[in-house]
Amino acid sequence: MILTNIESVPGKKIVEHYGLVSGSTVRAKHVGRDIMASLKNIVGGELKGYTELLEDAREQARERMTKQAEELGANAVINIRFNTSSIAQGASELYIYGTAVRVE
Amino acid sequence: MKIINKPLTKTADISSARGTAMKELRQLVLFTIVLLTVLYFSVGLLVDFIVSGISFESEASLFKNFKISKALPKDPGENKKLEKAKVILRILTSGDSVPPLPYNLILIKKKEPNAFAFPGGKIGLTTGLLDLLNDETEIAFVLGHELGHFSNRDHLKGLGRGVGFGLAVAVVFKPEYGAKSFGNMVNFVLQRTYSQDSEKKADHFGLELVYSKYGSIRGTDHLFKILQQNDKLPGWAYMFSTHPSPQKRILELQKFGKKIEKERTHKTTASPIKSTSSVSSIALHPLNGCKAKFVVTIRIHRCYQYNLDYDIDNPVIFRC
Amino acid sequence: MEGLISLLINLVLPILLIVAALITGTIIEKRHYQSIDKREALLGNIVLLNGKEYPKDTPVANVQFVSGSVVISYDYFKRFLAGLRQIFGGEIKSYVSLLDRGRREAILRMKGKCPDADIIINLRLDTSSISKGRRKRGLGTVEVFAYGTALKFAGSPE
Repeated sequence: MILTNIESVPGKKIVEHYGLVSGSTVRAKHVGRDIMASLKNIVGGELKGYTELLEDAREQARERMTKQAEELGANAVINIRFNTSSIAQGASELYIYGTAVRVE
Repeated sequence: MKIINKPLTKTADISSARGTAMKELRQLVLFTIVLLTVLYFSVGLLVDFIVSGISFESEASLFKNFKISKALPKDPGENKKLEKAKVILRILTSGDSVPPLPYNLILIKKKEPNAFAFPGGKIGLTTGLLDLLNDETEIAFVLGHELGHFSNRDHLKGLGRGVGFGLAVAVVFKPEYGAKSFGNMVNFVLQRTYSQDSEKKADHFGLELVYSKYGSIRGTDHLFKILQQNDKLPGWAYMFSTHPSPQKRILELQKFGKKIEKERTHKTTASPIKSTSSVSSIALHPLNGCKAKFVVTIRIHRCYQYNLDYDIDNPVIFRC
Repeated sequence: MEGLISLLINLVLPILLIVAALITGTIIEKRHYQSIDKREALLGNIVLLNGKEYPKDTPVANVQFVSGSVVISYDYFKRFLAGLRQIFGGEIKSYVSLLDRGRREAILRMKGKCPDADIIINLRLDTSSISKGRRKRGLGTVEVFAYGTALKFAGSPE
């Protein structure tokens, strides 16, 4: 599956457009991570636990989107957009969407 | 540009979260109960360990300035009974069987009949309880029960568990998560079951103490009989109560009372009555299974009217 | 009596609230999904594209900017589940299904404004928490907003 966040797949010709595909997940960080993060907050710097969590979540959302694209018979998703929004305290939604296409 | 319209069928609900509520609920509730139980027992063990390291002396000095908010300074109406209770307390605490703490009685203005063991040796009695108590053994049993809490360190353990588990729940169930109520619910039930067990043990201690000082356990369950009559709660509600139901406590008292009487009467050898002052009642009752034996129980009544020079450390029981 | 009241407050009331929210929430969600399925099939003729491209060789009869939005909020039961999930970590399914419903509803409302369009291009989806921080709990009300440009080609069937 080719993924791009531009209108085309460079070097390849898009033959068919199938329409919108998307995937999402809402992830919670667990209490252990929370405690570690609050300790880390004192000294600042990267909160590795949270970075990892969001990476994982994004990966899961992306997988879900590609599954939809596969069902449509696409071999590429173009114009991918990520949307991260904090929907409640300690919970973030990762949403990804793009257009499923078939390239030559 | 060629557009092909294909509807999604299989992967339309891509996050497959549709209708998963019940499954989530089951899984999460199970996880949480396991977590809380582990937390509860580790807090309990930790608290028991800490409490075992606190001697009675350090407890007394630690809680010397412990203030009870609802305590009444002095109520002329209740004073007489309170004085009586104070005398009984001095009798009860005169031996080695009771931990050495600076015991003190405190009257609490409250209608609900209840007694409390506060850290540092303070015993709180509600005015509602004093109204119900008349007989000496009744008062002695209530005080003995609270002394049982001191002996088992239930007041410190309860305090420690309350603080420790409350803290653990506050960390795990952050208020912003909205599931704090669940933590409170489990906390509530666990605390109650632990409490019922320690109440039972305190009842046993009180009974034994009363028996050793007064040679009889008559009337110890009288209070519970009154409570049972006034009882409006259905039986199942006691599952979640800090104390067992009066009915259960009466049965337990009778069972344990019989056990004590059996044990003690076999153990005790004739001991002279050292007390020379008035003996107000002599109760005779045949001993179970022994034909020729009678146990004469001498109850020193109204001792609160006299000086406390009685030597009542030895149970006043002898065989004839 | 005191014991019974504390029992009521600490145990019976929260359980009742959760059960009530569970029952109503489940019924509402089921109905909403049914209605979404029905309308999605009805408006399935419109293809959504989030790029700027469109078939340049086909004459366009009508261009229309369309948008649709929905504001959703979490019920007591979903919050309860999410609260427990936040102890152990992982995916908060109760929120996922709610946001999924919200997003599909917003798209359907957008499509509903141009039922005879052929495609919607440059589609954008926006999720924003609109009441966070009002209370310390931060339990949000979320708005899902969908917008794009609807095109109707000349010569396509009415």
